[in-house]
Amino acid sequence: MLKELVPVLHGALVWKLFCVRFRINEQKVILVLVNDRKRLDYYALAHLEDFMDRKYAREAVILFSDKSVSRQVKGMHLKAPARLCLWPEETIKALYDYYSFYKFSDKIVFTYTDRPKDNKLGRVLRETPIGEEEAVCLGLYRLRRVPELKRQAKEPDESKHKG
Amino acid sequence: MFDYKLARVEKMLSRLYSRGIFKDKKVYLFGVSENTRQIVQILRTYQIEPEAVLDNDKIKQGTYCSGIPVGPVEAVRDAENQQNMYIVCSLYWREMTAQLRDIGIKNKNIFMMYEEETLSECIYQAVRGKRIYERLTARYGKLPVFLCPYTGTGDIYLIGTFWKQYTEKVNIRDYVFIVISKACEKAARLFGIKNIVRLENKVESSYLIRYYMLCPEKGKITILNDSWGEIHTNPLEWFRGYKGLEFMQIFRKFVFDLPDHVQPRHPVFENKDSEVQEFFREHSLEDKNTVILSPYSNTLADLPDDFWGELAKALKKMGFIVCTNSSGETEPAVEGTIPVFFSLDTAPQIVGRAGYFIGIRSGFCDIISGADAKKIILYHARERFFNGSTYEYFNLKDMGLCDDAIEIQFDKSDEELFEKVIDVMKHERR
Repeated sequence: MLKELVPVLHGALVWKLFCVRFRINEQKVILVLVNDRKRLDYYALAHLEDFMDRKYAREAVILFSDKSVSRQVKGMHLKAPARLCLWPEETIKALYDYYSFYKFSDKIVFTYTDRPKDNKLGRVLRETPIGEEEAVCLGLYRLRRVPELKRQAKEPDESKHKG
Repeated sequence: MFDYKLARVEKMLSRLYSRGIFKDKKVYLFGVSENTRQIVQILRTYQIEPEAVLDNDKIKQGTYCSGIPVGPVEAVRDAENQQNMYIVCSLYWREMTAQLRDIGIKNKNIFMMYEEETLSECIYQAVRGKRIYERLTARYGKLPVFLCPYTGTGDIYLIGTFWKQYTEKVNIRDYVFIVISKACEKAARLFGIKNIVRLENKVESSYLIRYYMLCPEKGKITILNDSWGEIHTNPLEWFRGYKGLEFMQIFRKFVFDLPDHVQPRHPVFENKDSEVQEFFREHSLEDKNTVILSPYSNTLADLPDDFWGELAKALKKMGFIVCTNSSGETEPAVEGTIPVFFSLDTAPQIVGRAGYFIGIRSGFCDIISGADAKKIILYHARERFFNGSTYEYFNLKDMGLCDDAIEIQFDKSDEELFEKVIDVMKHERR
């Protein structure tokens, strides 16, 4: 059990450092784009302000490991202040390991679809008619509806990813 | 809410009451939920009747929660009045309290009853869960463990209807099947499910889940539900009722991974003729001329007592024997009816012999869905379950549990519903 606890505690440390560096408080949301599915990440960005409204947040921190995301964010012309943070994939995974065991914040959203084992979002996308935008609004942001897009940038070319 | 959390909330409310905080105050609760319903029950023991339940969901606004009107936050006329108290007991307390503060309510008037667990508490729970798991493996060996962490008998029944097909598919012959209530154990027994273990406290299932979350590969634990709140990394519940993901469909696909053509199968009911006959004799019930009323549901909306009272009166006038499926003080019999209580494992046979069943949609309806009787099931038309109406999500026909039930949606307990039910019964009399 100790073996499983180590990554959790490592993630907890990562989170502490992150909170200090970005001065995380109740008015900030954190979006972690993991690049599992580009279209999912796209809609997560496109509806970020809806999520912020729901959480009564004023700022966002966007965390990612793929450099192209910063271009995508700029193309989105978000109205709300957003700080970008490029982190190694492994560090993001450590943070998620911690989050998977302990929900340390309800203002952080990860776009993983098949991690950990019990995350069925990937199956929802592969095996039902539910698309990425609905997956973001209902499943990740829990908005209970799919609001009309406020911001639009060019969608990624990737068609609905299968598998 | 787990028992220990409920006890803590009870203590907090009792302390507030003994300090006189509720005196001359208008109490508002935020969010239609099981937590809110439990708090209402506690408040009522102090003769405190909340003014309203506040909810942002437009569909819930205008309905009732434990008999208390539900409205939007904006509908509180004198929101900033210092005599108002706002009770919040929800996972979403941050947004809720922020919303209240946004309309000028002071922190001192907001009473937070929700307590989040700390990391060390979660680790402690995982350790406890490991011990429970080890206890199970010591008794049964390293068998796959299936955990049903809920009290809903309807969920267990649905599990049962697919169980044989599932175990055959994954080629599992031996396993441990964990439930957390006696009723669930009985529902599972209907299907011949073996090695059923009933945990002594609900919270133990939470410990097991926490262990599973920490060591998903170590314990061979499967949670038999499409999703479970504690496992926050699985967002499936938020798609319930959306684009065809109704109760049965979502269980079939995501719990059992069975193909769409597989249909739920009722259990083979045991012959309990002598037991049922004795039950009928004891309560002076008549074969095929008895209406069993079932006015209670744990999860869904109920109907006012007047409706049931009037219905019972009318049915008796028509010559039926009328009884209420009542479990005692918390579920009293409808006025003028015979209180009856029977075990879930004889429920289908008893309802079949009675001939008639009228009930609000509850897990009990799943249990008796295969009974050979005229079944009238009532659903509140405006009640929602995630993305759909409760009717859309739970109706027995679409679940494949029966096609002979008359399932009626009602908007309120009006004449129309009463007439609809009576019309069906008059038709039966002809």
